[in-house]
Amino acid sequence: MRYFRKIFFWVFLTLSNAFLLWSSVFLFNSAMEGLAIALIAALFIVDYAFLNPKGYPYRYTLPALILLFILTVFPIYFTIKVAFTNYGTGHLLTREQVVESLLKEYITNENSSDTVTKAAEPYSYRIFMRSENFLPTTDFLLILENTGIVYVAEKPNILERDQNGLPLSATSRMSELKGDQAIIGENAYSVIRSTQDANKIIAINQISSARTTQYAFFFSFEDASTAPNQKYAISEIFLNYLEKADFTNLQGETLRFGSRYGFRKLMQAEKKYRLDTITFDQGGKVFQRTVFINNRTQRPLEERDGFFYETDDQGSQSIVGGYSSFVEFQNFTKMFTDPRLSQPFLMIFSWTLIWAALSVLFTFTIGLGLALMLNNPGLKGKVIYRTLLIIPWAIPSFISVLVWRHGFFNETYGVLNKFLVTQLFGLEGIRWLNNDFWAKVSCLIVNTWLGFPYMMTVSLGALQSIPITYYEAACMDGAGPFRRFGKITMPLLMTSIAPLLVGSFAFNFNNFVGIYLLTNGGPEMPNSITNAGSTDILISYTYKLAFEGSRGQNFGYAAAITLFIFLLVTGISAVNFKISGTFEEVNR
Amino acid sequence: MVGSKHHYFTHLGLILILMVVLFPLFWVFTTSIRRDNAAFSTELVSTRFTFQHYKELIFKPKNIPTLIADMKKAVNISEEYKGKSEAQIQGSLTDLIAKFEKILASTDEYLNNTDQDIQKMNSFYDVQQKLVLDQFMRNYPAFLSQLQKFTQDTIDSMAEEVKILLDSSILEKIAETGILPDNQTLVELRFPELYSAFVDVTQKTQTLLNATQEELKILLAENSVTPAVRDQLNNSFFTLKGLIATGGFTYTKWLREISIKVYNPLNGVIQAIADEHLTTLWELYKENQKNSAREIEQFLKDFNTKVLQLSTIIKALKAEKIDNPLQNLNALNQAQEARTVLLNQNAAQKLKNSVEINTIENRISFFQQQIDVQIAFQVQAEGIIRTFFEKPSFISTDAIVLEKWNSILVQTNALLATLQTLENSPNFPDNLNLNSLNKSLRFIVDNKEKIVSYLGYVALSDSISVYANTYLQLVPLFGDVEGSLSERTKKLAQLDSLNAEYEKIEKERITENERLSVISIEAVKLQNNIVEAKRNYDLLLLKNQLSTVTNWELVSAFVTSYTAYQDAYPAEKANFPSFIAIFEPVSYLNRLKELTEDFANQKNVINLLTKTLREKEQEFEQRSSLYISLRMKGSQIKVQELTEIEDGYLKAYENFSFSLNRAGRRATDLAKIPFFVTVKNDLKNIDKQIYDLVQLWNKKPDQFFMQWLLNSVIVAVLTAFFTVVVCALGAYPFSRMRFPGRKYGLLFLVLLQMFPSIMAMVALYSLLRFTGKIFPMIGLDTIGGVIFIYLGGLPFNMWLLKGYFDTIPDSMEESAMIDGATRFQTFIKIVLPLAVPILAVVFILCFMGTFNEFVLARIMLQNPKNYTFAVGLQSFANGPFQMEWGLFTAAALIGAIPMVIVFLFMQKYLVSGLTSGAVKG
Repeated sequence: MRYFRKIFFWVFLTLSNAFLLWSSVFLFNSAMEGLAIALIAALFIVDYAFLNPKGYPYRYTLPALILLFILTVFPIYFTIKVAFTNYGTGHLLTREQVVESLLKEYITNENSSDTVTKAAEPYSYRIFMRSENFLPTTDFLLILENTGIVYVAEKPNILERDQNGLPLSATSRMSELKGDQAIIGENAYSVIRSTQDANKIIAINQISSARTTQYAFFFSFEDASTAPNQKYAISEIFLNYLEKADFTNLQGETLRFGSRYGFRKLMQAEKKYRLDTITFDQGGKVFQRTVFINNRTQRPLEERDGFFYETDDQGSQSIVGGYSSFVEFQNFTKMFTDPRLSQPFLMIFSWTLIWAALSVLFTFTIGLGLALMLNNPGLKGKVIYRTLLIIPWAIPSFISVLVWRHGFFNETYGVLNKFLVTQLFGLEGIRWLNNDFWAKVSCLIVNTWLGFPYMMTVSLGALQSIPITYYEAACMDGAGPFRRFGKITMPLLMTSIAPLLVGSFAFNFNNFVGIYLLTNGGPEMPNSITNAGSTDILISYTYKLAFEGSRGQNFGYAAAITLFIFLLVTGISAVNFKISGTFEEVNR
Repeated sequence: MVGSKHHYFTHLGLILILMVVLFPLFWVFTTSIRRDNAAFSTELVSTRFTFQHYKELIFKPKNIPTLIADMKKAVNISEEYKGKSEAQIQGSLTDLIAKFEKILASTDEYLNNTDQDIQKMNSFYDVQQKLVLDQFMRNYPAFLSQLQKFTQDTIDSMAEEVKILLDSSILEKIAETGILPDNQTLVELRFPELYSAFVDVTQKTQTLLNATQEELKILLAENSVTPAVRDQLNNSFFTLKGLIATGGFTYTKWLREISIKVYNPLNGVIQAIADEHLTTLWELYKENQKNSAREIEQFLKDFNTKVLQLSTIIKALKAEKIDNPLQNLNALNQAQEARTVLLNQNAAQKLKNSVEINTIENRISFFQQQIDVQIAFQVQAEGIIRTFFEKPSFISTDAIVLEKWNSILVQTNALLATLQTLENSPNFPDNLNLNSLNKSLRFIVDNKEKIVSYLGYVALSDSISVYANTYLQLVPLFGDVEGSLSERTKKLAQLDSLNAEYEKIEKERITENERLSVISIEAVKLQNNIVEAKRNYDLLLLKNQLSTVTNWELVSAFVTSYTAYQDAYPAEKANFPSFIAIFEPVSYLNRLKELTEDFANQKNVINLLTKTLREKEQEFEQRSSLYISLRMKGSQIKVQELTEIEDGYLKAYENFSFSLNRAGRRATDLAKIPFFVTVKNDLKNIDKQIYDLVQLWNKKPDQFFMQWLLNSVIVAVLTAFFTVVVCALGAYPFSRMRFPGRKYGLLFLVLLQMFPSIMAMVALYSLLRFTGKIFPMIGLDTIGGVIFIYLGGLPFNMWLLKGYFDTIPDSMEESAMIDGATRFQTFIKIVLPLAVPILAVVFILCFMGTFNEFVLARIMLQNPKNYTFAVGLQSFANGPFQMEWGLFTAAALIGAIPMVIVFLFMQKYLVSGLTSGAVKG
């Protein structure tokens, strides 16, 4: 039994080490360094916990620690990293990826209209299909034709696929048809022509030593009689094989689909950019640098601010690719200095503070009032009242907020406008969610409704803990009800409630659901280059920056604001811990 | 004791607060069980209850459109049928067809059931119709007499204009359609003479008809008349009768329609019989008719002449009393408007003028400035010259100097002369002052001898040139000034005339305005009279209509007109209040009739529809196996029968759903009226049946609420379970053991908990995309992935557990360890059982937190079938079904109620747990 345990122990340790090591190497290779580092840290802790007797307590915390490293620490590391980059719309890829994709860009010859050469002529093509049991397969050949010369091309060989399995690049070999025969690599092909029309090829035979396979004419855009096959040709052949394919002949020329003819014809193509070194003078010293050169214009691409720029004949520049790059403290400085960003940011920040403060004030006042009413010893049915009053808290908040938003605040159909404002008071309907002021009022109404039961419950608990003898003594000394409230209730209440109020402030500071589901942060703030809204609080603003890219996603800036929020909340909580003395026990 | 014994006010206050606080819940509940769409209703709560929304959410019952879609999917072998055998697909298709048939059958059943109720309604209608008609017939004379009295009185006391207008409407109607039963009495009342002429014509026509009939009898009695001729003759008589009945019978018409078209062909036939007696009789028959027709024509002419005469008189009266005053008013108004235009033009002209004058005056004042500058120079020069006068004279011999002096003298004189003429001109303005210039120039002229004798001094001769300069500067300006001055004068004169004109028009306008206001009052009176005349005319028509009621149709037609009359003149309601009780049942019965007719029509439509659908469906059933085997072989197929079924359904549904829904609403509305108290339940039943029937046919939004709820429960339970296990393990050492990194570990936990997770989502998203490649179970858009991500919420719960573990005394564990238990054993066997309450709290908190979580799930889940409840509800509420409040509120309640119950039961533990964590879940 003992041996068994020991063996189990070592096998487990080895396996987990191997797994973590393999994972982190794998992650490094997949360019997720952050997670890899987190796993290596986990690896060390695992070994420490099992090999060092002092690390025994860590055996208990291991699962929690690993989860924390993967799901909490790694995202935090990621956020901090992103906060110093310009990661976002236009800067999503790494520089290597952009370079790679630029080198893969092709340009077809269709636009060089100045000279009509063989190279500028499109290639028409026809698909020849091998059938099985009279049904088409995905085994096919192509006949290409250009200025009277006919070529045979093989099914493209897919080199790379994207995550949905669609090809990213593919290549096909082609060869000129000479005397109805063509040889591509090890395969020989002969064509069969129509007896009525000698120009029309109706089938191709693939001749190998073992057997002969026949490919029958299946589809061509120019032949209307093949139209019924078009659907199959497009869904099975074009999208899966031809769309991204290059056709290369023995002379090294490349054919591709261009924008002029779409899928209908192939064009001769060449690479759009090449890498080259240019030399330039700077202060008398000669430097050499590798740059992209546009093969058409022979002009180099300019690289600055995480973008590659191309210069056209008029000298104006356009972006051809962007990558994420390190921008130091720009995201933080522009939060306060760039007026287009800082103005909305400061407005949102101040509203966040007001919102959190007013939410706490309203919920606490109402909650305390109700608690005082319910704290009456002689009151009957206390439990029922309390249970009913607590219901808004018990309902999942996303449900309540959606009900408020759609049923109550809708301008035309909502209960408030339809029955209360217009019918009862005879006023014009209020633009609840589309007016700066009323949208804020709506948010506060809903949040107060959601939050007062919590305040009521905690106040009630605190009130009940105040010994009744204090009041009796005060009564004897002739203190009135207000005096009793001010001198006994409030001070005693505050000692236990104050940390909760600060906590509630911190919670509302980041109360995403209360804002986002109700107003979506709207109505939109004018003159802002980000999608800031008048009721947005920092957290919803960050969310919109990162995920709702109607004006472009901006992860870098969002991460910077996240760090700012983190700092503020930590500050608030530090104050709170000071008040409540949470950490005193830690040092026990 | 503190506080009073009774707490009425506290109770009252609490109940009021409760009503406000729980109102949203009340609204959600009532909206979820409404039959109509709350978004478009004007009622806060409806009495038409249904549990249809809940049924739909929980069972997703199949109905016609969903079945059609399902059948299409099955026959086209869509995603969910991939990989099944032909027999399996055939089986499920047969099931679907059976369900389809079942729904058609239950449609029939609903229709029949409703029809039974409708039959009850019809018999109720029949019974009530008689009663109501009786009651109406008993009571209407009283109403009629009141109306009679009322109208007679009013006609007598009417203003003259009203009478004229009334008469003119009557005459217009006569000219348009002749005298018809509905305006007969009116004519009799207002134009007895005309009426008697009309009666004459009618009598004459009647006589003609009677005489012809007699003669025809004689004619037919002849033996020689063959049956064919007899028929033709009879027919000809009916043609004549018909012609008369359409009204406007004249000789010309008789000639054209009867004599030529009917009798001429008969002539040949009768002559062919060759019976002389018959021919004579026939000729006489025709002759008599001809004469009568001529006579009638004469009478008619008289009648028409009378109408014309009367019309002319009334028209003249109308023109004098009504049209002319109104036209006058119009003309006055137009003139007044023209005046206003003129005044505006005048004002604009004046403005232009004064601007021009202002420009000129500016020019003049500029001139004055120039003069002042020159004077300043001159004064200076004069001072210099005067200083020489004390010195000995020094005559100049320089010819140039002398010549200059002479020219200056000439120029100065000329200048003075110009000044003189300028000052004498009538245009000379007050604000131009030439005196100083005059005076300073005079110095040269007055002292010319003296100056000559000093010209030898160079300084003096230089000073003199100032005067030459003056000349140079001012002379060109003088021309301009003269022009400006005359122009100014002209403009001023223009301004005066404009002012005069303005005053004139203004005066006219004011006097006219007074007149206009007088006339306007008249006109308003006139307008009122016109309205009054129209009302009286309507009332007279109404009275006429009432006096001719004999049967139900006429009664209901009358009630319709009466309602229209009341709607048009709301003030009239007060005049006949006591009769509403008699009239209302009629309109109730009419509404009931509309309901039953609506239903009967739609029943036919639906019967026809179900019949065709059944046929198509049977055809489809027969061929379905063929379709499936074809599709299995890879052919693309288009199922004609299903397309036809869908088209037929869509076309018919549009119509009948609207009419049936209307009928249902009507039924409920009627059920609220006391008149229908005996059939109240049947009416309600009709509404209910119709609602259920329409549910079988209407298109429903595609929703997966139950799937979402299930997803949420799975996610929440698993997350909560794993969290409890991991946190209990993780928190234990922090409470019981001292080890390196403990203090910083705790701090670290607190810090982690505070980091906002928004940006973390980007990282977690890429993490899930990555893990999904290796373990598809925990990838993007999977429930597993979401659970994995949710396990990140550990720190807070670890804190909670650690706090609770701290309160469990160590002594028990210590004694267990002395007995040989390991650490782990004490943890499992002692600590965990003691910590069950807090474990439950953590479980529930985590369960609720996960159930409520929406942000992460929204990012990670894309396929609607994988949504959690929060994401699903949000997408449903914001999506294309924003107005489906019934489904939305029902779903909200289904999602909320279990949570509320759990929360209320666990309240005590939760509150303690939450308050110690200091944050709301």
